[in-house]
Amino acid sequence: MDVRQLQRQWIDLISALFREGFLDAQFTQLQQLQDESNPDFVVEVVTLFFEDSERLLNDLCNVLSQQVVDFNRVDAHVHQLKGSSASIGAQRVKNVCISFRNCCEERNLEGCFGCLQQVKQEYSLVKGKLEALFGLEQQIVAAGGSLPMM
Amino acid sequence: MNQDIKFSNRKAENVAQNKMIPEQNSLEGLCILLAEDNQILQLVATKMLEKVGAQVVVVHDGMQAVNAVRPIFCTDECKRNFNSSTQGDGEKIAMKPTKDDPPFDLILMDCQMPNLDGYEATKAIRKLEAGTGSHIPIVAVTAHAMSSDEANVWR
Repeated sequence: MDVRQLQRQWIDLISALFREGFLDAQFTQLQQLQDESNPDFVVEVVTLFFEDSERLLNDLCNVLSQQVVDFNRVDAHVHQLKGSSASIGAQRVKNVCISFRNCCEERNLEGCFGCLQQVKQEYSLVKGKLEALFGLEQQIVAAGGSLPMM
Repeated sequence: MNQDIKFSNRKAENVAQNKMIPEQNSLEGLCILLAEDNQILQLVATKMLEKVGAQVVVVHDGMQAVNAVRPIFCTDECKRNFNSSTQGDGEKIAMKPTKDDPPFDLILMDCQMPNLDGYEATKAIRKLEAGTGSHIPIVAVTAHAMSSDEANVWR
């Protein structure tokens, strides 16, 4: 596949990510923070987000599986996930976290379980799409091309 | 030409609703203390602030924030040890910050942090400042949106 085709694929993918609400304007902010002094900033931050999210989702599973659920602890983990997803522009993950926190406040265990499933799904979706995006970026650069300006 | 139009249409789709980009170096010369326990938020906030010229010092909880500010207001003995010292040739190193010249122009304080949260850390810093005439601006940073949270900040 030539560079132009790869670039078109990249534009199509990132357009869809914004259109479908997976990403919001904060992701654009991240891209604008990337420069010559820090050329891998977006990948670094998003990779950190992946690591952190997986740990938090694991912790959430554990805390919600306890016989007596500590909703304050659940809320603390969701708060972290909400903050980090918002800071990278992962809008759909962030939005589920908002509902999740409401369930914590209401001490609604069933609601919390529902939100946990939903947030895991949204996280998995956005992770897959961002990994595909970064994969395309690598291919474009390897083929001697540059990323289109957005 | 068609391809250019196609590209610019897609560009418009990409939520190009950018937030207003601050002027380059609009925070030049400012030293900001960022108290934030979330590593990703630390990274993003630091980069955003540095991009517009600020120098950023990051701490991970409220206790560290208080400790970062405490030396300005510590005892005379502490100041003698902290503010200056001489090297072998008698040359003084630069004077450390004092309450008249605090090291931070601004503190960005996350409200919810381990060890000591933002509310308590702010109270502790204001207590240190009491009677000194110093008042470092502290901006509460929170994802909480309830009016009770705003009330807590004002308290």
